[in-house]
Amino acid sequence: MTVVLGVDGGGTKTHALLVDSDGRILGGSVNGPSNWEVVGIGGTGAALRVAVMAALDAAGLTPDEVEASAFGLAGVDWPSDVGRLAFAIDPLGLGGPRSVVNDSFVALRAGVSGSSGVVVIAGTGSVAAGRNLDGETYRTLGLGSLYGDFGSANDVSVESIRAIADAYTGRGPATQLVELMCAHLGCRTIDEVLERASRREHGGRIEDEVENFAPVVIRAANAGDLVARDILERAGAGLGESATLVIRKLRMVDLEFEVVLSGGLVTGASRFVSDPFEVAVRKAAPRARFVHLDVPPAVGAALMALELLGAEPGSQIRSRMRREAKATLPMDGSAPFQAKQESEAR
Amino acid sequence: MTLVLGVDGGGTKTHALVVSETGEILGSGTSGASNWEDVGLEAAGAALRSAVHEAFGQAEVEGPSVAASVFGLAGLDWEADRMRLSAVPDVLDIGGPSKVLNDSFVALRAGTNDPWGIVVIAGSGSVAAGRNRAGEVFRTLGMGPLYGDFGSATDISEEGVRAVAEAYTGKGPSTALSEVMREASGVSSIDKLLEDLGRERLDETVFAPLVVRTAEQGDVVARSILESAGRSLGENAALVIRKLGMEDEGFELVLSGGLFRAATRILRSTVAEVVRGLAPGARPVRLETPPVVGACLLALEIAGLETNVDLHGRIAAAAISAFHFEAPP
Repeated sequence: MTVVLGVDGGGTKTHALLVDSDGRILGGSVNGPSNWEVVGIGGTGAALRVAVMAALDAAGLTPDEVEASAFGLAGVDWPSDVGRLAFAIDPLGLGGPRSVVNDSFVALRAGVSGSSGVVVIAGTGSVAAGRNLDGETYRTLGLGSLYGDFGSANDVSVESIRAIADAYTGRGPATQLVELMCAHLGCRTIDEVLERASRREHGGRIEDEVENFAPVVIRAANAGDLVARDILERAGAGLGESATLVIRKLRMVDLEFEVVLSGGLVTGASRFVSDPFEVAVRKAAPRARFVHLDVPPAVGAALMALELLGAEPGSQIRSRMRREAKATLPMDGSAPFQAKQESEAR
Repeated sequence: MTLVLGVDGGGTKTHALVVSETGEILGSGTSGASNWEDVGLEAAGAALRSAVHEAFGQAEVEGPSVAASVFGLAGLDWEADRMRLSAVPDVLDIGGPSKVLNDSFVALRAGTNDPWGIVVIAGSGSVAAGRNRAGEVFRTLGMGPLYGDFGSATDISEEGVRAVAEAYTGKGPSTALSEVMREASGVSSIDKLLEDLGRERLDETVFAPLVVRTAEQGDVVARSILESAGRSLGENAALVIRKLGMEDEGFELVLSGGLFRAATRILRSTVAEVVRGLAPGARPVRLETPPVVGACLLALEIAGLETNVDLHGRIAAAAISAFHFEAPP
């Protein structure tokens, strides 16, 4: 029986899954962040070690019994990162071939039924990535709006502050966001909100320090506020533009393929985001189909690891893997605010 | 002889001037940053004290003998700041009536013949402010693009970074900025430039002079960055004009700050075009004197003295030589 390892490591958590060639989950684990940009390369090595060892313990296996492994890691962005990550992964002593990719490709593989398609992730940050039938891949920079990716929860938060500042100076229309933001932050007046927000940190970009106001914007949009709706619609359109860029680069305009949506801002948080997103994508690629990622992305890493051995997991194997992975790992691919909303509801 | 004190305290330097009612400069002082938000209240106070003492020392006068004083201070943004900073003249033991106000109003007064008008400041930050004939004032927040003020050197630099990133991914058109910024940063490839910018090994905010130069060399992308900055600065001025009901008036539109002194006409002409669309009587003038001149004029006015164009000109000429305020290209 073949055993492979799939790892999904991000800025808040690391998931490891051990899977056999029939799609059975032999062991899984959850650990803290492993994005080297967040925890340092030493921290990445430690986080991966703990996650992988815990999964191996659960399965009763040793590292050398792993026959292939795939790592989807946040912070794998540039050629110089490959050597850096090898330094963190080599000491694990895993057997067989190995692949290390940006975590967006793992989310893509987890969400599509074949091996090609496009993924858009809109959580705190946002990115779009894709793979065509020839195996060519492309990814936007995922470094925020300054580098061309617009539509994350962070962008929505920034736009909400801009909207209340514009309402305050009279540059923009009045909006319910003013009152909702005051209440959310426990401020008596809009002056207080703006003064507080502007003095958050000096020297750095305020845009990078903004807390997550997306839930407030969604609430205002649901209550009919046009300014809030406009913010969410622009986010959706921006995500659609990023997806379109990937689709064009990979020459998929005329093809039928799946577009995987992941992250709290697009997965059910608000139609105000997903509708304009779908419109923008369909305009470029009329045969695109939209699917929400509803399994932990580590499933995609495990599938990639199986493929490294030449296996082509059929639909039965894939659906077993998805089912069992959902029972093994928490599904936290959403933006933090969605989890928070749920806990408030409870 | 009646003497007044004018002070302009900003994020990089502090200027103080002691002038007489005839416009003679008796003493000048210069010190470092006095924006309390950047350096803290204590250091801001020390910088103000140092510049003021230097000016008093040259003039061979004591604080209490001054008839009036005006302090234009960066970082005086909210009501809470007025409480924080209104004690400055007393603490420095300066006589007569005094006024502390946001530094943009000092730059405004430095550039206008009348006590009213509109100012647009575009340096490392940007802001628009104005005062109408009735003495009403309005100011944009001046807290950067997030709060509606887009068009500073910082913004232009970041738009340059965005243009390079979008040329790289194919989202935007190619631009000479890519090569210019790569070379200036001393890295071997655009990949490396973006990697180092994204990981904060390179500063995203220093490229405005390169964007200006590249625009002047004919690059369409760089030019459109300056035009969009100019439009935004013009729209902010228009906002102030509407708020103060000055659409139908004739007034000076003072353009102040490093960007308006840069070697390009694109920004100035775009701002003027946008503002004239709303207020045809606006007369764009570039501020050619240190803004502290405006603080001196305001101080003379609160001392009950008349100011006029000749007096303004004398103070301006003396201040230009006292502070070595060089003429832009």
